[in-house]
Amino acid sequence: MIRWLPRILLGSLTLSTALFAAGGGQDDPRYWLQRMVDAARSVSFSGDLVYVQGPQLDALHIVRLHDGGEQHERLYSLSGPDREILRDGRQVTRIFPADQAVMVDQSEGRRRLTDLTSDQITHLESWYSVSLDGEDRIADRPAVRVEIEPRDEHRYGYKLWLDRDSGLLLRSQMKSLDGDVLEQFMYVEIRFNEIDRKAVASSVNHEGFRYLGVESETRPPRSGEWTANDLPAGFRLLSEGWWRMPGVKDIVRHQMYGDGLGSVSVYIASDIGKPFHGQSSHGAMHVVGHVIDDHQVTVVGDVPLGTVKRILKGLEYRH
Amino acid sequence: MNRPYDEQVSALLDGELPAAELKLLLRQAQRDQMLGARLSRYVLIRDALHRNLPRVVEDGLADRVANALAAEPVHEIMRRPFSTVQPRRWVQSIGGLAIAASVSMAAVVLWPVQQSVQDGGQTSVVQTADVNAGSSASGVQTVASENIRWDRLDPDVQARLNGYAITHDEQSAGRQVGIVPRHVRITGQGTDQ
Repeated sequence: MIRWLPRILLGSLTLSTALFAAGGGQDDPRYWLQRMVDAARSVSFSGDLVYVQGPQLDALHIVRLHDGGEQHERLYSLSGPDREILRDGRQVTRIFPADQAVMVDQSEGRRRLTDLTSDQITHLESWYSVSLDGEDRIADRPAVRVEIEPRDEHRYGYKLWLDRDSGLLLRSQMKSLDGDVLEQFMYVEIRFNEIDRKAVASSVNHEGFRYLGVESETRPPRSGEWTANDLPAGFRLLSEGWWRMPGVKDIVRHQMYGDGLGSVSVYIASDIGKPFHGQSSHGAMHVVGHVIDDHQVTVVGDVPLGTVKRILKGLEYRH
Repeated sequence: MNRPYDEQVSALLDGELPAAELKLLLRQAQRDQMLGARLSRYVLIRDALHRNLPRVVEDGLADRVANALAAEPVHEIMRRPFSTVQPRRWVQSIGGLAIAASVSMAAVVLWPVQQSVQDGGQTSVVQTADVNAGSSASGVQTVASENIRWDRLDPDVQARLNGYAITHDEQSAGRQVGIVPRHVRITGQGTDQ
């Protein structure tokens, strides 16, 4: 059965693209969004990209291999301190050689069942205006431009450049309500050649590094209910889980809300430790914290600050 | 001889004042205008030390900073849901100062994760907390956009928020349309010192 999985997966992806093709075809921006999602799940490649956030510019190299229905990836920095992130199916390993630290997250497999569906892409149009915006050239390849504009102030806008041949996302911009670019990345070179397994293995010997694990936990007994009573239209609960995380003694409750593009995480810890009150912003990502009912509540989101604050304000705890 | 509330004011500026004591301090500041004025001055001094002040410091800046903080959105949003009392206007300013102080001290470097450990407790800040969103428009105070070392940043708070931000980025990537390839944000945030 296992050996048939890649073919079944590929078949379902082709089918979903074909369904959109049967609808609006290449003139329909949803067709291109579906192709982008499909390409992210199935296309193997290697390339160099630049990532810009505010005044900060970074260069990175990426190698992605889809093999046996699983994704393997190696991403490492080409500028500044060494940083390397490896994905090996379910496990994500983040290596910070300068800090002699390794952060391992084994939660990856839980998400596969909730990957984006074509229904969700259609759903986006309730909250965003999606349109095609001509053609361009990225990394010396023809690209289709897709404009995604928010219909209200609760979310950011986006501009996407998709590879005309593969559908892969070659460039993206996240834009504020005023149209300012908050964050963007762009491939400067990309190769769709055959990827060797060795190319997605780490080159860093991290033996002896400090280990920082992020592990999922079962729901603790007598944990009350936290409800977000004031979600902006279109946002819904995507997941809820309990995690053991570095820097927090007790298990942390994590709720994730999203509208298909923007997302907000709510972290609730009964171990307040040193309380975090207030806010901080880092490019397009905002963090707001407060102590509510003897819990440290921290809301993190790549949405406008007002949306993050609104969700924090609307949280309610029931014992 | 120490003046009353010296220890609490010092702890507040260090971002180490427990929530219960913060309430008491604010309540006292409501009754004691001298204490309120002292808090304003100390916050200004701290901001000057951290290069957050405009190049030209004008007369009446303290009052304008206090007014700006009173109107600051952070203060408004934080005060409404969790407080049942409606403090007087200048008390709101003090509340704003308290939040500004705690946020400044807890301003996070989302990446890299363990920078503070390596630096022996010192940490680079990629972008300062946007605590003056309401004041920049008035021209009263600007937030430094360059990187600032926050030697007194609490490494525990930073480590916790780093973990949250990274997990958020990782978790959201699998559930939403991927606008930035997974992990690029994490890997691409570490060059500023």
